[in-house]
Amino acid sequence: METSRIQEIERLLDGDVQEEVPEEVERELAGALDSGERRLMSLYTDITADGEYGDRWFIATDRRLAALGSDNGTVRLEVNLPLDQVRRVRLRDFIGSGALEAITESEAVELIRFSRTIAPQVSRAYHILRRLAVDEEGDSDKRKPGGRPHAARALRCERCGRALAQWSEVCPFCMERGKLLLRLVNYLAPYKTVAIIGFLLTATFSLLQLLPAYITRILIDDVIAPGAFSRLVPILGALAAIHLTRALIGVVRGYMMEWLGARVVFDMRVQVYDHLQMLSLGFFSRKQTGQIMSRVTNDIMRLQFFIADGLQQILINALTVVIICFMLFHAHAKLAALTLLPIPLIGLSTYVFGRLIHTVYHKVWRRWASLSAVVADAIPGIRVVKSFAQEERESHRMRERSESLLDQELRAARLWTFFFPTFGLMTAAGSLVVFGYGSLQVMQGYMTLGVLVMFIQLMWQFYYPVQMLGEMNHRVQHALTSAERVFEVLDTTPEVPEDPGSIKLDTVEGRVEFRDVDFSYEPGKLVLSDISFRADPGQMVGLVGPSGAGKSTLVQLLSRFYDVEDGQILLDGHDIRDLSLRFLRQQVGVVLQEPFLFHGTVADNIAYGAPGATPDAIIAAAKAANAHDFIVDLPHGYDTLVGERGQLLSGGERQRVSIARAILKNPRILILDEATSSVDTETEMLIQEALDRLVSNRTTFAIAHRLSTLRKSDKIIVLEHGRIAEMGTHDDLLDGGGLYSRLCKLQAELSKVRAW
Amino acid sequence: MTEERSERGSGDGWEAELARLRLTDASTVRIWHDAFRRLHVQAEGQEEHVDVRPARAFPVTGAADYISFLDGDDREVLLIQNPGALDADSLAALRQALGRAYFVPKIVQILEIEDAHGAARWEVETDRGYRVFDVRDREDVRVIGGSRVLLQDADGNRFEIEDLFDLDDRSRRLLDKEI
Repeated sequence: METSRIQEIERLLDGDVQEEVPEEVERELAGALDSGERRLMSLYTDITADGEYGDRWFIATDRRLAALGSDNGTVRLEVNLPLDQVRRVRLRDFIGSGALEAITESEAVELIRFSRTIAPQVSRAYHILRRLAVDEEGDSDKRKPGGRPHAARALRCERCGRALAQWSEVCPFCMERGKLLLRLVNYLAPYKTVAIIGFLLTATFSLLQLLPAYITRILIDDVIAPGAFSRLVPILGALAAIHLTRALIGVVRGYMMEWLGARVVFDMRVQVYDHLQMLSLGFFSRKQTGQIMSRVTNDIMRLQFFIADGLQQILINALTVVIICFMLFHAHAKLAALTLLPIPLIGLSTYVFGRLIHTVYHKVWRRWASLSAVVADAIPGIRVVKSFAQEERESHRMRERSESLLDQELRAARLWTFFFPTFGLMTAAGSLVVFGYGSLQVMQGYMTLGVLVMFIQLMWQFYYPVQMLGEMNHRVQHALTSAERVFEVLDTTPEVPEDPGSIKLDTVEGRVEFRDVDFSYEPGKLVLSDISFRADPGQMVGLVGPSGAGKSTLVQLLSRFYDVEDGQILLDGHDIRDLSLRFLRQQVGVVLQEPFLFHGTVADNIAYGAPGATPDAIIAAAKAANAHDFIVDLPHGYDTLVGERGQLLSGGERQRVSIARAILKNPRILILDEATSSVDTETEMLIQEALDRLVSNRTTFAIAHRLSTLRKSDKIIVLEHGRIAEMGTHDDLLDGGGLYSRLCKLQAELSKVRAW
Repeated sequence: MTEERSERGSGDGWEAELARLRLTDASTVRIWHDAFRRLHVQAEGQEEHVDVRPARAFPVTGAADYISFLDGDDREVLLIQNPGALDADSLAALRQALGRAYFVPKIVQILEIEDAHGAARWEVETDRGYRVFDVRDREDVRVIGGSRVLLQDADGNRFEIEDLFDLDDRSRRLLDKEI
């Protein structure tokens, strides 16, 4: 092994492939390695040679590849392969696991097996090992350094190491409920004054609620008992005044709280939606639309209820409990203690109930979500449902989920209906004790009748808020769950990060270069590898290849919907990761196979990428796109409203609107993703004509299945299995006799049939 | 043309179509590994295919025991329906290859599930040994046909509970909260 190669490899090593190994492994290794042998890599893996879970270590030195297994604590050298025997290494991808193999002159040796948990490290190790092996398809020198390491997303919690919920940056294990509540309350900050006034009114309201009991005592002891007629009217007047004030405060406070709830939720909804728009494409492709929508609407709505109603209920109830306690103890300490007797029991059962109901509610919520998913699935696909006459099956699917939801809802109802009467029984038992002991006290003359009556009134007023607080427990749980989900969205950071020092270029020529680009959606499964090519300003690059070869992925990388794993993409010599994301996407125009038109007028849709475009510009763009004629022919012309997906227009018409949209945006780089493949031949000609106008002077990447549309390309790239299989002009490739020429011949024959 | 259409409509027609699946009778097929750990497959009197990988047609539902053999370009070279008819050596080789291709340990006992709103840490005993894994999303725990449970952890590892009713009470109670 030449020193230069070892040095090159050493530059690539990092903590990912140089893990610490336990002492007993070190000891075993010390016996096996030669003196002066340099260790390059050490890697832990979790599957043994027999395919069981267990500890194993992989070691690569400048002289050998080795694997050590551990059997009940005894470490054994299981694989010991001199490096000069290794011709090639290969990484095998299986479901749920993978294997790293070394191939010699006479056999293949399995170095390690690994679960997907270890896959990212092994994948790194494999890429380095390829350079170590003697003849890695002769390309060990081709891959030059220069690519930055992929900024891997933090998938695990920094504090506890647990995997985080999908697309989330929040660790639910490390998140504290108190903090969550605090964060929710923080939304009240902009409305501090209203919140404080509301709180004060609430406090007054609670106090006023207790005064009647106190006045009743005066009424009985100081008015009725001594027969003091003169005091009757003022006392009744005071009672009337208290009730009136309470009603007034109730009205004002109620509205203030509702207003507050609505405002806060308004802010939150706007914030969540703004944030959603910022998130990377990966987020949306992983989540069902229904789920995202549920977070924006349902969860936030539940929070509104909580902030407007729940929070103030808690405040009122908590305050009431404290004040009543104080009044009870002040009036008669012993009786007060008796009154409080059932409280621990109530507290405990509330806690148990809360846990139970929370689990059930979660199940209800999940089933609700799954029900919504069925609807969200079947309604947009209603044409398919009907044309296959599967209405009954869809109804059945819905029914099934509905039943499962019903089951859980009934389970929740059973819990509720059992809990509250039991609760009532406990409080009733408490009241019996108070009645008994209180009556005795009055009859023995230790207490006046007025105090007893006040006690009994307060007692009922006391149990009620305690009960309500018990109910609050689950409401808070409910709201916190929703809050968590909403905050999860807010805390998700875009996977495609923007450097703070990102730049904008003054002028863009449109020179695009891919350098050794590797990309994978999942670690270890490369979708694109070793992609290198260059497109000069104004050139047209055709991309062909079987479906699944990575064509669409390649152009998506150009818009930075995803980041490359290795290598670089350059625009005018700048790494696109150094450019402002917004700026980059302004330079790129996309025409898709299935154009998406938004709900709005045709003019709005054309001007989507260039808001504020003049009617002149819109018409000019429409003309260039061969769309003007059919648009003016519409009853409402450019003001025609197009539906959710532009249902009103035909496929070819929608396509031309989307081309007009791209023309008006005037991008330097254009991506045509099978722009003409879903229309008839005549329309295709119209569209092709429009496209020809669009592509002139722009660097264009065109994905096409109909190879005839690519004849004018300056360069055609044939992708196969994520690699560039061939590259060249149409004529070159045709002469080359490779995959492209084969595809061309096939299509030529097909088109003969089509001519019929 | 019309003839063919009517044939397709009838049950017999489908039988004929099935024959055209290029389904190979498993009893005529030999499967073995070579020193390069490559899988070979050959049907009697036909071409030998080297470096193929087996793929189950219904790996999740197990609706039928079709096993397809794919070459390096992911093209099917052979399809068999009942691997039970293979000779003993071939069956052993196939089992070994499938065992590698689908590493889906079966959970036999659930020791603990720490759940915090969807993200959960599972501690389990499987037929391949003890394992702790994190599930990122409740949707990664799927119940199939009422009693089979398929799981995928945060890293893409797969697990299976063959029949949740065969689990002990505690395991089932823990599982119940997740499904």
